[in-house]
Amino acid sequence: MTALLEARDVSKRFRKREALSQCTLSIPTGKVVGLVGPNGAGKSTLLNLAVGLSRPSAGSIEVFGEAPSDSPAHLRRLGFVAQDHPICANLTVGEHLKLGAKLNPNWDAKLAHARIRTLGLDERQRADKLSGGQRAQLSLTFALAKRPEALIFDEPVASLDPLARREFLETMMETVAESGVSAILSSHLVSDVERVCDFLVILVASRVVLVGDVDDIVMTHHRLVGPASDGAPQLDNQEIIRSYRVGRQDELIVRSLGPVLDSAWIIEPLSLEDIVLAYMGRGQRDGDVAVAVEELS
Amino acid sequence: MTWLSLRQFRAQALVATGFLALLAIYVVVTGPHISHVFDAYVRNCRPVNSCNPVTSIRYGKLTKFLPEFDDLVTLTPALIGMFFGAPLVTREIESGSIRLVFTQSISRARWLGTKLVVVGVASAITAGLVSLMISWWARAWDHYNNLPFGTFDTRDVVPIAYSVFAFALGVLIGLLVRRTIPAMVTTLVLYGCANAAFGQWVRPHLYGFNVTSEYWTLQWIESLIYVMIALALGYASLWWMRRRYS
Repeated sequence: MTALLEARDVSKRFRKREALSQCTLSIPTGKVVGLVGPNGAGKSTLLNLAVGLSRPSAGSIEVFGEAPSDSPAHLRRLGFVAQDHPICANLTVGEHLKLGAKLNPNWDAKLAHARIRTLGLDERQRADKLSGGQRAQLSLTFALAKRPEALIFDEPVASLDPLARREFLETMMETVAESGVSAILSSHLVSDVERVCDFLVILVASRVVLVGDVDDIVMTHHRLVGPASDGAPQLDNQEIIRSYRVGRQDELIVRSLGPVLDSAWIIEPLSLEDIVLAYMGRGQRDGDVAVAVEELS
Repeated sequence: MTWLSLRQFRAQALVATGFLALLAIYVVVTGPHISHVFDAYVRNCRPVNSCNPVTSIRYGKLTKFLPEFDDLVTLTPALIGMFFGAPLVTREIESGSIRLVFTQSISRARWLGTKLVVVGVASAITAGLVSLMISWWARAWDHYNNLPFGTFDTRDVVPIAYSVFAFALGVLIGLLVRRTIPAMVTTLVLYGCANAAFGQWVRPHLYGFNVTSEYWTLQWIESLIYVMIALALGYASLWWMRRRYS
């Protein structure tokens, strides 16, 4: 089966800054994918490349086995919601739906109008007079009514209040469950996406640091607590993601490639958020975070 | 896509229509009177054919707006380039709506191509109406003045061609500059330079004689040259759009 997204050594430079660096990953279809990473990690850059809004400086990217292009046959398969929820400022909500119908062969007008009614939006209202949350909902409606095979959302809930956030994610999940489309959503907060995602990509400092099924990720990552050693801790079968010295103990966040053989270590499970934070923290200077942990404990 | 192009052009279209309506009212109200007075003046002139209403200061107030109207026809293409051409793409880049459209099921070339045709035709119609109204309003004065090449670039067909050219120039500059105000200023400056350069270096080679009987031939030749350049600019915009944005 063709992958939803296949990136090989993709880099993207803006003038001197490298927004994405040698990114290689494969995302299967039929998943709800969380793309997480701190602000400026390259999430938007990756998604913009995926929907053809920009082109890679090096490497190749494919969506549904095709390089992203402006061919209508390719574009109709993707529903994209950009981070700032772009709209046509002087058009009304109703005119946006008309625009969607005119530009998309699969447009589901019934769904679009029904959603606008459910949201309590007035079709005669100008789109630039909508609140941030309403505007996000209009963007989502736009992407859904296009009836795409994959939904790609860039920070869809960042601009929403907690209630709208929940509604938005529920709507998205309903749609995904009903129609079986794939979805990719990015966020700088893992809490936004962990309830809905079954696949995770972690991006830190323009690089992909982890890709995989959420269940696998949770099963293979552990916290190990043991006596403090003099040098850097070394363990067989374990890739150490982060290590902290907490009092007279060492605390390790590890990716387990096999069982922990040294019985001196206590093994604890990790939440997805812990794991993501460990990877995100690794991109920064370790010392700073370790100090913060010591102060807390 | 035609619907969207027209819809996004609505604000400019309303302003242009309002302006054309005001001009039409003035021209229709005062135009026939000028012809009437000029013709009567000549008819009643004794000895016959000895007087020219154009040189008579008595009729100055009837045609007092003539210099302003000539300026208006001269400015129309520049205004069209600035307000129809330059913002065509820059406004969508600035508001972000370009990214909404670019992720719908439509190719970028078709998106820009439709906008170019729809607003390009609107530019031609606007300039055509301005030129038609003023050429008609000034017909008596032009007739007795009998210097068709004195008003060559503010009458009849050429203002339409200048406007189509200025529009295409504005669109291309907008694509390259990507911001509305700088694109408008650049369009104004470059259109002015292009027009001055044409008058200075190209037009003298086209017609050295200024024979009145060739007036229409030369109107069409000059128009054709401008329209061809406009088409080339439109093609360049499409090419750049494909290269830069897709």
